[in-house]
Amino acid sequence: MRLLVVDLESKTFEYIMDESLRHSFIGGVGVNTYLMYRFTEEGVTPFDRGNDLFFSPGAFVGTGVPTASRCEVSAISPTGYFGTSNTGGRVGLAIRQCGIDTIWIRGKSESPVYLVIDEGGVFFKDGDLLWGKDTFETTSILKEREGGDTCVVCIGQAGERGVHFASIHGEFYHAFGRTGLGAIMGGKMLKAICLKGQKGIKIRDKRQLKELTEKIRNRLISSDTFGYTRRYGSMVVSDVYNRLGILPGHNYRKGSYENWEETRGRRVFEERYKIRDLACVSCPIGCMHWSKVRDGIYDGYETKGLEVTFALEFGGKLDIQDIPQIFQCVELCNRFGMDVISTSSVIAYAIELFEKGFLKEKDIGFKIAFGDFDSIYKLILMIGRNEGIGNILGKGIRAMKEEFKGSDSFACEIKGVEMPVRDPRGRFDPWMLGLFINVRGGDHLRIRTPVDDLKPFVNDYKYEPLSLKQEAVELLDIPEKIKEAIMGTPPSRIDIVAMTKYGEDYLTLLNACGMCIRPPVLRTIGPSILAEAFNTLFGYGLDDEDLLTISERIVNMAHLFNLKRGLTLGEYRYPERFYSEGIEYSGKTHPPLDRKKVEEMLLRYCELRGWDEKGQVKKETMERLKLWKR
Amino acid sequence: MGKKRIHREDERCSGCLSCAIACSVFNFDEANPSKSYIKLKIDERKERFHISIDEERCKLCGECIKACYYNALRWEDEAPRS
Repeated sequence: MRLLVVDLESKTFEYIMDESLRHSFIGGVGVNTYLMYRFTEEGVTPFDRGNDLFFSPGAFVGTGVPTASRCEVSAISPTGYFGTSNTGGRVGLAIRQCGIDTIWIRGKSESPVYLVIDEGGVFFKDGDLLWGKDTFETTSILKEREGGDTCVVCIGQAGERGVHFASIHGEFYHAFGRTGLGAIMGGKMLKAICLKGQKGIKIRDKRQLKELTEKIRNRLISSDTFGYTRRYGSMVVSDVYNRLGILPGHNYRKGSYENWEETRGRRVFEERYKIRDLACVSCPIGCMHWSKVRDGIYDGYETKGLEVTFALEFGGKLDIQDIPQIFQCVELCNRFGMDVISTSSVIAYAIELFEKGFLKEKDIGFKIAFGDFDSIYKLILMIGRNEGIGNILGKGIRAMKEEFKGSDSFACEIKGVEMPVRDPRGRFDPWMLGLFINVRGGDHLRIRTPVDDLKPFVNDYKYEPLSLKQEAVELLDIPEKIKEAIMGTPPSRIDIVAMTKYGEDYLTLLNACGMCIRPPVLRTIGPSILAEAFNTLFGYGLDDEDLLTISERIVNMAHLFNLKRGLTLGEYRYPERFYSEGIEYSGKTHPPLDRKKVEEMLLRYCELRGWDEKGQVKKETMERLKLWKR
Repeated sequence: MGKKRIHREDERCSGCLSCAIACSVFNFDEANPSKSYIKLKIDERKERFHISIDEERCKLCGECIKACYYNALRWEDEAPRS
């Protein structure tokens, strides 16, 4: 692997070659995690000069392996813990076309700077005139200045101003959204990175790669989830969430809305707004869409979307009932460079604080309410501009709850990261156990399983029914021993804890390879096919078990990183609301979570991970995974 | 008979670059959309794509057509796929 190390203080750069990184950590999140674990000095805080920022495309990105486009950015998050985020589009390819596998940003610049990188090296350019511009303006200016084919990765004003959930954006719409790494980039006064390389990736055996590509593509297309995912994108699940009563409505107090499907459902999106299918690099699924508003005051407005996250956050959590208004909220977040989930979450929390009298009209300057687009839009503006109450909201829910004592119960964050998209009370499956276990904190994208499903069932905190059709079960690529242990013989149910652990290793592996995590991939591409791809491209002769061991190593390194920074198992929990209140949906109520049973599941997860009951990594696990002590 | 031609439909293009990567792998043993005979001009703001082919150098191997998952490419004498 070829790492480009850029020092923002001395304005110098160097290349490091280290092929062992590929063999031991694959790429993407694996390499970033290792570099953070190995090289972050003791006591470094998020905005210190010693908090390095890493960009690494997954190992398969740019080679034509279907869906391999994803790129990972990592650093210590403003939360103080391991921060990492992932995006698709063309950013990962553009990095690899500069002839590099990782960009390692060190130090802080004294004044705003942007980088131009190509296969020859790095140019440090004055970023003064870009400072204060939003991500769309910055990208447009830099494409004009550096050439239209330049891939621009940048921050908006939120990153410059240290908003704790600031994001980093590539090509206008692709966000490295979660864990606030835009604020870290802003703290370094690094406004943008322009990628201009035109280098290729040498292919070892083009015949073998072609066969592999066709095999992966055929498997993806044969999944029963393929057609729906192309047609609706992530919006495919919008209606189901409402029917199951697992929407995060009004800060997790309303699990469904009577008019959801007519206002924010998948059909409305498809029939009224969707125009064209769009895809990330090398992807046959094409889950993204270009949309256009055709009436009302936003008539003629065009954008990328609608992602279900946008619908579930601004539509579900904040109850904005009009898709064009949801588009406006998302565009504002994109322009400022702020994570959509955290932005809507801090606003939901603020509105509940207002309803309960913790916040007064005089503190804000106006009344705020769920469903009130105008006040919500104004709050987004205030956060992005660090104005008034926006200053407090921009620090995130964990900091806010210190200011509003007595509101912990409904402060919906985990490990300092705002909770996303789904309520766990209606369906406590591996996805929902994973939502508080995963390394990022309140997040839904780091533990997913090959059998993710949304059929209703009664929580028993042990098993989830396996409701996949026989053909779908046959397409699963899970090592046989693991499959039997988790799903029984013949496969009939899912051991939730065991699947959560496997789902975390599996997702980490997909991320390290740079693969997408949409349902057609989850259902059909697993460790044995990934090993085949890895060997085709790099020739190490690794098998599925080797890859899962590497993945476990990555998960454990990130965990060790967090333990060192003060994380304890005490933070592995949902906010109090979820254990003491039910949630209403369609005239019914999902009961609160059973605290004792959830805690038992956590302890069993620790056992399966090879951790002790306090979450410390046992010596034998350290040895098995070759986790070298720092 | 005249030379075979590759028909392009920009409106169907999803921007995935699979065509350009396949072309470069087949013809140059490297994955490199900057080097391929088929290229995409990308308007990122509007997510619009214009497909062009260097007809002088293109060997008409058809790898780009096989790689396209969105029916934006086909042989000119073949009927459009839905």
